This record gives sequence, structure tokens and C-alpha cells, in this order.
Amino acid sequence: MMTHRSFHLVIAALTLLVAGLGAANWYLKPESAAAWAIGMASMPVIWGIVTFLLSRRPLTEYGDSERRFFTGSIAFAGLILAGAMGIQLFAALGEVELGLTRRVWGVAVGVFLVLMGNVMPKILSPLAAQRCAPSKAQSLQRFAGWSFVLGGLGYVAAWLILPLGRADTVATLFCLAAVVAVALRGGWIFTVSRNASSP
Amino acid sequence: MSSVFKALSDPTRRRVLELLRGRPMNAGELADNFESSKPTMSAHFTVLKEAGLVEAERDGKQIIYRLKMSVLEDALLGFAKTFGLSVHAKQPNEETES
Repeated sequence: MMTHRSFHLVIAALTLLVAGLGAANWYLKPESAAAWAIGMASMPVIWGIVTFLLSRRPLTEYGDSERRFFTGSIAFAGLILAGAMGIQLFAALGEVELGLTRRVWGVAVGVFLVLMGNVMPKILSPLAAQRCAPSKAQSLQRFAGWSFVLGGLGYVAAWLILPLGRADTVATLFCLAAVVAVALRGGWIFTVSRNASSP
Repeated sequence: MSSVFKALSDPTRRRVLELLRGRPMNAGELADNFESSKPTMSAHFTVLKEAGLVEAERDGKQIIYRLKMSVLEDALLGFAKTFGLSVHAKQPNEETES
């Protein structure tokens, strides 16, 4: 079982890796400084959010499947960033052909989104730890799972079919659509529950 | 995966999963929707648990059953419902007796 400390060590290692790759890219391609800066800032932001969430509910209070999903998702986010920056770095050094590598990477990320969405409804927190009605939590989890699977399939299709210039934008739109749909559904469930419980 | 197909091959178990799509329920609430005896229903629940499609959690004196289906398994359930998956499976009471 991953402890609180080892979890933070993993995030720290990923943050350093992303920062290192970002700095190397910045040095080689200073014209894309804004992109490198955003990439490098992402992991500290994720780390901050994780620290805030864990201060409200420690990792040890999560169920096994929840903990695996939570830690796996953070590690995945770090690896996506590191992978994307690594590809850019190797391309800048002339070691790889950027087009094909980006396409393969895009497909891999999409496949992971599908796999993540697929298992999402199986992540059950103990009933006593749930902060809303179990039926609503279940409904949102199923919706999120389907959204990420469909968004991930769209992401994969975009990288497989579209020209490189458009694949990135369309794939990102599929991913964003899934996130927005889940956020809207979650907001709607929260609003309905609050109205139902208010006198 | 074969345990999932086996679990989904039975209409009673599919109906249990559809009921659980609405909300988590205890064993009594679920059994009230069927004419089968309690031991038969209990055997159905066991098959579903072994396939990893539901999770049972004790809440005081009750056991609450919750859906634990991946998106793929959910899609398979929809497929089985639409096209009538009819893999020959042993009846739960046969399994428990053997």
C-alpha cells in the first residue's frame, strides 16, 4: 500500500522530471517559452491540489480501489506531461521524427483515457465515507466513466485519422467535452440534492 | 471474463443489475422484486459478487448491494438485454448443491 509519504515522493520526482525536461526544451526552443512554462507549472499546481485534498481526507481513509485510482491518475498526469516534453526534447535534438511520435503518443494517451474511464464506475468508496446519497454518487460515477470512455475513443480516433495540424485540437476538444459534461452533471446533481435537502 | 459472461447470461441476474443501476439496495429489497426463494436469490448474488459486478457492504444488520460494473461490463449488460445473451449456465442452486 502506498503511504502518504511515498505518494508525495512520487509526485516530487515527477515534478522534478517535468521541470528538467521543460528547462531543457526552453533552452533549445526559447520561442515556445509560454508552452514550457505552462507545462512546468502544471505539476506544482497538481501537487498543490492533491495536498489540499489530502488535508481534507488523508490517503489512508480511501478504499483500496479509490487509492489505486487516485494515485494512478496523478502518476499518469505526470507521465503524460513528462512524455510530451520528452518527445519535444528528442525531436529538437533530431533523435525522433516529431509527427509520428506525437501521433503514437496521442493514441497512447487516448487509450489510457479509455481504460481509466472504463474502471471509473468500479471505484467504490465505503458507504460510510460518502458525502452524498449513494445513488447520486453511483450515477455520477457511471456518467463519468461513459464520458471518459467516449471522449477517449474520440481522442484516439482524432490522432489516428486527422492530419497532425488538426488532430491535437480535435483530440483536446474530445477530452474537454468529457470533462465539461462530467462537471455539468456533477453540478446539476449537487444543485438538485441541495434543493431537495433545504427546507 | 468468463465469470462476467456467465453472470450476465441469466435474466434474473441481469434484472438484479438493472435494479442496482437505480440505487444501492439491501438483499431484502432486491429479493422482493422476484418470485425466487431467498436461497436462490442468495446464490444469484454470490455469482454476481464473484464476477465482480456487485459489491456487498455490511451496514449495521443489513447487507447493501452496490453496482460495481466497468463501462465495458455495463455495455455488455445492455447488449445482453437487447440481444438476449443466452449462454447456457448452471442454475445457482445446482452450483451450490454440487
